[in-house]
Amino acid sequence: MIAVNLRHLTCIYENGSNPVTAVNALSLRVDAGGFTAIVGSSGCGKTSLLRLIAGLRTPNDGTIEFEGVRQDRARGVSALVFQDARLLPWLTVEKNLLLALRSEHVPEEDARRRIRDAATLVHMEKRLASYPRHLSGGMAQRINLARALCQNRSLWLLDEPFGALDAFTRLQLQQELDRLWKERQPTIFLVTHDIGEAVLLADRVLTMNEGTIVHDIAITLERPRQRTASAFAENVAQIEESIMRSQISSASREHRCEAPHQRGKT
Amino acid sequence: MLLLLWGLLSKLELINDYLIPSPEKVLREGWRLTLSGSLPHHIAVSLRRVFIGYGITVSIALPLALFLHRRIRWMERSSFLLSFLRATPPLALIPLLILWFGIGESSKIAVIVLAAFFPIFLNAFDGFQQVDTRWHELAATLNLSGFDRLRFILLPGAFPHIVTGLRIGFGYSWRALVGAELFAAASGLGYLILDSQEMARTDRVLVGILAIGVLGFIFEGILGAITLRLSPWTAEQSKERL
Repeated sequence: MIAVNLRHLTCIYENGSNPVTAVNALSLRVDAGGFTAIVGSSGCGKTSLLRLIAGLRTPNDGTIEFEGVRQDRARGVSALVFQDARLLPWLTVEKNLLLALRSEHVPEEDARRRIRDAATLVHMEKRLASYPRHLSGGMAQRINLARALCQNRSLWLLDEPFGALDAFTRLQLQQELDRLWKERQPTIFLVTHDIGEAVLLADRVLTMNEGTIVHDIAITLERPRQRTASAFAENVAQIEESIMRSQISSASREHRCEAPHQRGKT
Repeated sequence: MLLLLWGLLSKLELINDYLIPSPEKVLREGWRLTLSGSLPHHIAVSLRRVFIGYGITVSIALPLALFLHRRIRWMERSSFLLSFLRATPPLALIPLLILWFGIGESSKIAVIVLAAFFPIFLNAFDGFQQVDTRWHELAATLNLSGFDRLRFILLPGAFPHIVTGLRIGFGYSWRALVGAELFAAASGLGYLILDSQEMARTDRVLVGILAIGVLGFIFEGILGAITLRLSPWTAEQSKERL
């Protein structure tokens, strides 16, 4: 587990003469072993934030620290589960998973045991010899998750990992993730559109809008959590309300910006 | 079908036997040249030249494409030189190459290198450049070393383009070789054709042409089979596209 500290993080995408601020001066501290879910409407900056933490994009401003060490000096800290399965089509499932362990220089037997265990967790142990083109979207996504699980990383960045799965598999894997988090205690950032999933798994839910954190809601429900419990529903409602309010306030801001322009036209 | 038509036209004496001898005559002459060892000798000489020239080209063009694919500025600066060299037919350079390298093997191999270089280099360059950004991101998150990125991401990602370049380059080098052998050679299929033409042996000319065509077809097939074996995913993608 590892503590994550983001200070004044800003990410701007150059879009010709119309740059888009995906993450706007965002500051956040997550304790080691914390499970943080990030929710918000599409385009609010969730995935951009995750890509910044993963080091896939350099921030325009601000810093990222893992246990006080600057992100660019801390190699091999995080494992990222992409939105798309991102399996190399020229490698079998087994070799795709083994590739994730190459930088750790694990002895081959140990590496094979680890990938077998990870594949078993996602119920894909019988498909290790298959090529990605022979897997369904859901199966590929499970291997994508197994790739992160078999790495020995202290920070897991999960970008809608269960989005492409059927309801039954999704429930199973949510339970597995909950169990693994308790067992291994990694620090987890989970980006999701499913508010129920965020409340079920995380101990802290951040709602984002226009690149900033709008609300930071602590989930204090006891584990294992029951979706049918009234407190669960209250938490979900609280988050939904936070997202709705932030959307309404940004819509009214846009409206105020547009109004003088429109007055000029009429 | 073409062979039947050719045979029929010869049989009916609709075509001049001197200009286009009958298939039987050509095959008989081919067989005779094979038994005498003359045709295998010319084929071996030509193949040796192609393989040396092609090998040199591949060992220059692929590393250069790999080196330059991340240095777009260098490519932009040398675009005029590249376009100039690409537009110049290698056969037009033969007089210069003979002056520089003599009439021995070197000038013929230089022609092959010049002919095969651009298709191999440019296809590999495009291939390396077009490797999906998503794979580079994956390599970054998996913390892969430079060598592992080359082995698991860049080379397989660019493989379909590289093979296309290798196939086109092979065809170009084969054509250029025959052209080079027409000028200054004492052996090889190009020489066989030119020598036969000077002795008014059109049957032998056709034997040389057929040998070139058949060998080109065989090597094209071998390269295709290797591609399919090494990158079955590209073959399936092409099938899906169809």
